Amino acid sequence: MSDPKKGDSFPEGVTFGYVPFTADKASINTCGLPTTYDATKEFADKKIVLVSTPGAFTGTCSEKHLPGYIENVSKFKEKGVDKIVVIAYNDAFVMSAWGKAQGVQTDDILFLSDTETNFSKKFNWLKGERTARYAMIIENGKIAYAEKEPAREVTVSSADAVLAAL
Amino acid sequence: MAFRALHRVPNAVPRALSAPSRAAFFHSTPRAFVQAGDAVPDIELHEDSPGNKVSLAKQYASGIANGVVVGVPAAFSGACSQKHVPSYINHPKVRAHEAGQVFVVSVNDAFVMKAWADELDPTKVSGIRFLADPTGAFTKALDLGFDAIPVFGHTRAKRYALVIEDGKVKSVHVEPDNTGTDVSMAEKVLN
Repeated sequence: MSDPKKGDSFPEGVTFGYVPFTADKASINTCGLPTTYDATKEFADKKIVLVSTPGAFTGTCSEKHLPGYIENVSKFKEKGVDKIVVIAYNDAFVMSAWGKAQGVQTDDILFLSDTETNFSKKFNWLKGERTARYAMIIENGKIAYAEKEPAREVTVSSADAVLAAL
Repeated sequence: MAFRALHRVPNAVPRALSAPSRAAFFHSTPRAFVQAGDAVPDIELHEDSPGNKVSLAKQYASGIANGVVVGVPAAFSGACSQKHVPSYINHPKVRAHEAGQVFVVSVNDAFVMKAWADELDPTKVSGIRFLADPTGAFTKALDLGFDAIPVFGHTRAKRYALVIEDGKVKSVHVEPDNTGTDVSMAEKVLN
């Protein structure tokens, strides 16, 4: 279990829990059914920014970490990013609700569940039972950037830091 | 350990069946499907934040001794948000504060339960309190969990409602298929 590095291949067989946003279930009190998102397959031919947060609806994640990404979606797209994928240990229903609560109505930013922290576990990038705060850039199935926060502040995994690395 | 248990008569036997004296002396509650007449488990739940610990056993013992404990498989999921919990929020008896203290419990963390409560009942008009059972310990003590590992990654609570009277479980209403919205809906439980 080593830290992911630039040049590594994105792991095989990675899936996340996913409740897709659909217009007819836009209200936070409705939701679709959970599906499996085949990340390894989806990331193989795209430029992806993956952001991991310790918890949906928690303070730092909602107020300091996530907004940077939501506000700068167009900047990410200008740099060729196909999707921003936000993950946390929370289940797919909670992630879907969090996305709605943050006002995200497009599939430029996906809110996925790292079920049982199976993905984050591979690198031991965990925070207790949750996923740690980190960000990765994955280009056509290869890791181009992978940084985990050393402390509580949002630094290397912030939208600005990742934009600078793109 | 069993030797000691035989020599001491417990003052309050929490359960009518299966090893009552052991339950009084060990920290973990023995796992047996909750029945009418059982005590409410004295297990720490979280309200609004992980630092805010609430025990339902103590709540019903010290405050209002009647009410309903409503269990749901998942905060923010369809049936839970659209049908089950709203059936309690909107029930006339709950609105008239005639149903005692109603708690909604789910195997989620406190942040998620608080956000969900803020969505479903932002002005707290119903008086319903939303508690987190983050490790599933409370659910396990009632033996009301089910294996939801493929979808959720761990055990979740079945959909249920426990009517509490005088601090004890008066009646148990568990969805036979774990997640349906039938016997545990407010209309059937509160009328």
